Amino acid sequence: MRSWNGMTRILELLISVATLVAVGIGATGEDAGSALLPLAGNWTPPAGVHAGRPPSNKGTVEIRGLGTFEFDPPQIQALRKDLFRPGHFSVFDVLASLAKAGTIPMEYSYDESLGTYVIESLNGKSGWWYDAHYAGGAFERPVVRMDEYPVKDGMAIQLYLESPDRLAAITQDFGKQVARLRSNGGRVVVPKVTVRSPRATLTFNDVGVTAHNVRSDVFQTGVISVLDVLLSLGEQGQLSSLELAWRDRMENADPVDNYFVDQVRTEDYSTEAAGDCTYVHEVGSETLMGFLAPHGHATSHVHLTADVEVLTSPEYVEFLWACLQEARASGENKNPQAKD
Amino acid sequence: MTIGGIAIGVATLFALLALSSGIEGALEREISGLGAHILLLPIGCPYTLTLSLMQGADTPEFIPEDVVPHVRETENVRTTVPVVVGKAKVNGELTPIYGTTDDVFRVKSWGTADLTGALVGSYAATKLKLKPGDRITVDLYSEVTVPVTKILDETQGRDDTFVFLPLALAQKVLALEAKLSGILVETENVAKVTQTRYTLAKIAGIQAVPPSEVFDTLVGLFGSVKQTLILITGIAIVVGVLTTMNTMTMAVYERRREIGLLRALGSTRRDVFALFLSESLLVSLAGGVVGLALGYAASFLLPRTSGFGIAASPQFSLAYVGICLLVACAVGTLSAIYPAMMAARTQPIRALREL
Repeated sequence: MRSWNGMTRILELLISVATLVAVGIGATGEDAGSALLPLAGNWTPPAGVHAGRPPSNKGTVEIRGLGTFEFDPPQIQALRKDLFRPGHFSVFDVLASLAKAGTIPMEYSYDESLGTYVIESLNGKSGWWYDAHYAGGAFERPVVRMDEYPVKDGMAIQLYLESPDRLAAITQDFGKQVARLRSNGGRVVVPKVTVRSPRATLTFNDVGVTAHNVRSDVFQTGVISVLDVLLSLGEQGQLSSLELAWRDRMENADPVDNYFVDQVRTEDYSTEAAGDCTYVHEVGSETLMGFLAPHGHATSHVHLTADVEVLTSPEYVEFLWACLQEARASGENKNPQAKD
Repeated sequence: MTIGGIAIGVATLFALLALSSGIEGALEREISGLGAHILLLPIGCPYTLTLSLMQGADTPEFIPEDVVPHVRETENVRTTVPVVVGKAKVNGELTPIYGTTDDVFRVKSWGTADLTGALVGSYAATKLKLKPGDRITVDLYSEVTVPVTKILDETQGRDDTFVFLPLALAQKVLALEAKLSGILVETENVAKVTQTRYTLAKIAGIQAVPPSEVFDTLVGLFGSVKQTLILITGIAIVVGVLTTMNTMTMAVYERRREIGLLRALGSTRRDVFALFLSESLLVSLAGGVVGLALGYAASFLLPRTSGFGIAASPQFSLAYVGICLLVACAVGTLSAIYPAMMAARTQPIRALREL
């Protein structure tokens, strides 16, 4: 059965790339700058050079069967003050603010065992999950805690009743992450990290991850993101250099305001920082196999970039090389209407 | 052990052929079962969305229903079938539901043209213990109660798992008022499908995809996995060749005195060569037959899925049996050439001295 899972995994990876091809991601990055690490032996990008624009425009959230509701960013406070800096907040905070204002009938609580706020009932029903994408994107059915998904201007948010099987798998995965974090005494240790590129596949086991505060504009000091996995590998001498590119916008996607991993180098391995090639990532576990959507995206790995995805303590983190320009070209040829 | 080595290679090959054929057949059956020349889908990954449509899975993106009149007016469009899909509780059991209009009867042969109530697929009917005349409760975001008007004949496809409802009722249950999961389009002139596809793709908010393109892509993706499996099978067969070669070489060493005797009694080199080749072929054929039996059993033990969420049973054919036996014979021949040549070159005098 494991070998079949492996085969399914290959299928999922292939189909993930096919998804990029199909949706034709508008990925011509507008670079405001890039950083080649380490800088003078330091694996932390220079602070204060780039900062994301906090959400400021009114947005909407669609709740299936209930309606579409407007929210106003200045009115929203983050429930997870341990995560977000003032001015930034999550998808869950939008819902909580609507509930607090009496606009939507929602009851929620913080679940210590899952490390996240959960919806107990919304419109009298339980079993809700969400879909979200940033400006210029498409829904990806993320497996990211709702109170960790940062909101940006132009974002689309949908809440829907998730299938019980998938919701159970997501819940189980979150629970396992918290248990793993506790069993490691609060240290984030990722059992398996994989970096895949056309030239080689690098695998690292039991990678200890520490915060580098790359996005101190969005997150509080000490919050660990997926990008910290690579930065920690660098500090541990497993990588020799890393190139991060900051993009303000990407064709029809604005704002973007994210670091993209454009190059990973070890002593005897390097990826080419050619064209629009970059690394996307996936955070997942065996528990989520078969429940990753679409086609196995454990996370919103194109839009929710590694620098803004909070890392709890997952079973694996995988960085996958994707050439978005080719994807866009193929997508356009195949499907003139498809836009991401 | 030699028979076992060959059997493993043949079993892997047979299971691979049967399962690949089953998966490709299932994909083709499901996609052609959609009954459309062109699929109109929301913007997003066309493969995910097509699979969702086939499986009755909820999709994150939708088509606005008001595009339907534009589609109907498009040149070369004969039938336009608006569809919503999702999973809802039917009598408390999570079941895929499919909301559509009477237009569906032009693309599906169900032996009825009545969609005033629920049409239930054969598998769903068995699972939910339904018969015509029963009333079912369908509930997700809203609850509706409808009579079952017909249990559909078995198709061996996804249609068997669905409960088909009038579009408006399904939209109400799934909270998709004025939204569609997709539109099935049947064309007047199939030769003009490409042209029609590009015309339809100009309608805002949708993408037009021929099911054949989705099929080719999914089969292509499966083909990449199949290549890996073929490589594994190849390795198993090479191991079979080496095992048989080793066995035959050992046999030649152990029987060199008998070979010498045969040669002394008048057997030609060709006779000795043929003797060992025949033995190897017999052993390989025996391995092939055992392998076929093992492969048959293994193909039922493997998960019956295409990896795309589509159920796929292995498909067997006499051609696969023939291919596998031919491969077994090839293994026998290849692995016997060197040992048989060694045997044929045995000098009778030298061998007889060892007696």
